Amino acid sequence: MNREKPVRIAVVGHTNTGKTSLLRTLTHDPAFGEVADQAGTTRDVRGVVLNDTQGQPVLELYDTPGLEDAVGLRAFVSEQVTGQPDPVAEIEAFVAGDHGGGRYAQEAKVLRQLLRSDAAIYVIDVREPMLPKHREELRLLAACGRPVMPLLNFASSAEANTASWKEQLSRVALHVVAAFDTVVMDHRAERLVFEKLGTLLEGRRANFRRLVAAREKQRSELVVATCRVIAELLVNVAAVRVQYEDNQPVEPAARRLRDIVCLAEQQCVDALLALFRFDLATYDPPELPLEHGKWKFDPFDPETSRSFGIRIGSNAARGAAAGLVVDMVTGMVSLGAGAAIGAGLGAAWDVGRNVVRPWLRRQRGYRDLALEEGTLAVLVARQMMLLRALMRRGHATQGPLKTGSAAGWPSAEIRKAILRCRSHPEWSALNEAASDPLPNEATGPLMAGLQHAIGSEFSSVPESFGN
Amino acid sequence: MNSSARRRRPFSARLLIELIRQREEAAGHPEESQVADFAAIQAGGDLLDRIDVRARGLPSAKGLAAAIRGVIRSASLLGALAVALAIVGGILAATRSLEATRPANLPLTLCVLVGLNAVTLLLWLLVQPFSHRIVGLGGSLRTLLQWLVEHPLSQRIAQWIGGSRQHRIPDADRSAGSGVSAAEVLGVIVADGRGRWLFGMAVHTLWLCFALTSSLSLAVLLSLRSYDLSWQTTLLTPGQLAALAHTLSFFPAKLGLVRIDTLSVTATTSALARQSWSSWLVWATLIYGALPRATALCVCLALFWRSSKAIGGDLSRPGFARLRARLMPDTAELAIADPDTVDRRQPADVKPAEFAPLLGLVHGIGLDGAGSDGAPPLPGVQWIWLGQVDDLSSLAVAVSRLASEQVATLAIAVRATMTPDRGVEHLVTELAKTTRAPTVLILQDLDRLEARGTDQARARVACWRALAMGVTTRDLLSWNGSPVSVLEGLPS
Repeated sequence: MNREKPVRIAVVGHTNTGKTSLLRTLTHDPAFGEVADQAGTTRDVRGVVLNDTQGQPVLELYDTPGLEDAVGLRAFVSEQVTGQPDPVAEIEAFVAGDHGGGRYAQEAKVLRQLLRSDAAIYVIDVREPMLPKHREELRLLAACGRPVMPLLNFASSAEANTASWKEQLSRVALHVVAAFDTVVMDHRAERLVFEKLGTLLEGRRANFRRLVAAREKQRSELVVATCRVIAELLVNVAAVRVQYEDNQPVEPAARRLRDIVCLAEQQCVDALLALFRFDLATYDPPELPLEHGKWKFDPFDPETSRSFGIRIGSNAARGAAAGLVVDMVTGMVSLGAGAAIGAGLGAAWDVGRNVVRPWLRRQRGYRDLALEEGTLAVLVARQMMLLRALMRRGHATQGPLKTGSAAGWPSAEIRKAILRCRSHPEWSALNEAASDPLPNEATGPLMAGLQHAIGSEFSSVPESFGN
Repeated sequence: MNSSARRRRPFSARLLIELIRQREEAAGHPEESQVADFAAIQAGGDLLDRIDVRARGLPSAKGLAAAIRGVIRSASLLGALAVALAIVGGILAATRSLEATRPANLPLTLCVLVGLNAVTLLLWLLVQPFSHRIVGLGGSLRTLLQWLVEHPLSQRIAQWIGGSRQHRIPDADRSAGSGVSAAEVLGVIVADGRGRWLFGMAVHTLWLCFALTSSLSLAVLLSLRSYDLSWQTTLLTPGQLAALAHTLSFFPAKLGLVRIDTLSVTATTSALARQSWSSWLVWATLIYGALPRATALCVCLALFWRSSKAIGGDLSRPGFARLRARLMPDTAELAIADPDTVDRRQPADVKPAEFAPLLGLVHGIGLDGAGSDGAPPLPGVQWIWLGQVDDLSSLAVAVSRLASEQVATLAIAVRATMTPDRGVEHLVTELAKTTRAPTVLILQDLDRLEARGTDQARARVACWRALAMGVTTRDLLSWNGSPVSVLEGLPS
């Protein structure tokens, strides 16, 4: 029952090349192991198991300490471990010995784990050139008699010597090479890593196929969940209203509305980061104006909107702030919805609700404060930007993230769906008297629009595993 | 297994799961209970099964489950009372309509038993195309149900019927359920347009009970007693009445229940005619009263059932998606396979030594690719460049030259981006101990290091300094001969 057993892979490499980071990325667990930019951070061998959709283990990855002195070790093995029939026996004898009085104990752990494993991933920092010590490491690993797949880490860095490394690796007969970048999540590269391991271990291919299937399923569920989080935020903020008396100053109401919106946006960011399992307090993606899991800039700041190519504030509420508008609902009567049911009772109801009721309220001396279209555009653009950063793909060839179209709206479909929510205060869970918060009728079209907007960017690679 | 498990899960269990999800999403994080999480993982099954087990094991579950039970019991009670009223209404309507006139008037009886029923059904049908647009329908229904469920009278009756079983939420459970209200439970039930189908189900059930009991009462009364039947009205002529009777007989005749040709609106006195018309009346009330309501009820039931599948079962909800990592993790850390046994020195916080510029005759060596293009161009330095050391053979060559020559100063060039490790330390130590001359480490590519970030540059330089201090008393130099501490933000 070989298929039932998880495949064991040792993750090895020179010190400080990102082995633990690779495991963190592949396991989507930012708490795995210890990461620091110095030699010898990982000192023990610890494993992590990856499960399929049924929760069955299919792959075990073992993080190992870095190889620091392969040159010295090679000399030690040549001098001290003699009389062995083949290289594997030589390595086994070394591992069983005292490791040069403990001097090569760290390297011994690596080699011992590799001898227990089915294959190794050899992690390379491609920003560094290939040196004799790397060749020595590869010779030692090859002597363990296990397949080795080099993984070019930091492949998206401007300093990467990817082509040179590939060429050098092919000279030592290592042709199955994966490129990766452990500082970003790239599901295509991740999938390729597993596929290439499947190629290396032909007999265990089914395990990798199951793993890839599980990852794809998780990813699609994640996309739907994140789109729902954003859709719910957008419905909530588009339909939110704060009422104030006409003869009273508008500023307190404006402040209240801004606080409500900012809190809702923060909850959305927290939920997104939690879904992606990032540490809420420390995640600061370099290209996003996000600090400790919080947006740095106020969505009502005209400067923020300008950075998204959005103009707001033209229709600002009297003395309140840019980004807010008073009694804007009357303009949003139909948006085509009325036409869907003919010019019958539904349209009449719409008119009554959207024109007559606000008019009556205004007659009683009340006004509604709501978000302007530009502010909504900023909010949607920011969440899309964050989502893109979290789901980033093709980073190796991409520069800084683009903020989208000049209008700030990811698509006309999304704009239409959001603007429709503006005439339905009953849909916003942020309104105390919301009678029908977040119905599918409101979130459904937005989720579809969001999925469509990110779907084209993050579509899966074609199935390449055969049966 | 997945679908069958979902089918087996009772409505109250799904309500509990959904309520907990909503509360956790509102709180921004899942409720912490290691016991519940552990129980869910131990129980196994698919994610929904585990979520179910976890929900039942949470500290707040007791209060929430009590609230759900209370709402369901009160709603069932109210429903039963309403059904009883509809049944009584049906019996009374049938009795009164038959006995209102002598002889019993067929159009009147039909109008009483079916008329209002049919009109309200038509109205319901008319509003359906835009009922989802009626703002606050769900909210209003929720408020109405809440009022009914929470009314002291209904609670008292429920308690009375429930006997010793407590239906009110105990105070302790209420605190654990952190103020759960009937409105919250009802909000879940009527959300996403389910309110309109629930409303439809309630209305159709009552009218169906009314129609069925009135038909049954008619059948019983007409079987037990002798009634004179008549089609006579004040305004309508016999011809118009005949046309009306003919029209009303259309569906019963299509179903083969009555024969139109044997019925006459003018000849209703014979025993055969009375028997035929009474049979016609029973079938007409069933077909025009009960059948449409039964159909509408089935439709509402089906739509409610379809819509309610999402209650506690939509895994795309962020609240459920977040639980996957806890309850059905895609990865699990294994025990440490090979523990750390290496006793190593802790990196000390090394203070930089005093800066001394490089001057005069200097022997230079590049490690691991540093200085591959030659020695750094430093003014006042006369280099004896020994080339690269990156393996044992080149180390042996360099050591033999250093041992055989008069060395005033030894400069070892390293790339700053490289990680100072035991291998580098070994090479530096071997080279430094060959000569008694002062040794200095020169860092190449400091600009590349800086480009990776100040913090990273600072940490890396500290590591290089710690390594250098193990073999020399001289501070690190940059490629242009200046101290590395001139780098902005680095310790000096």
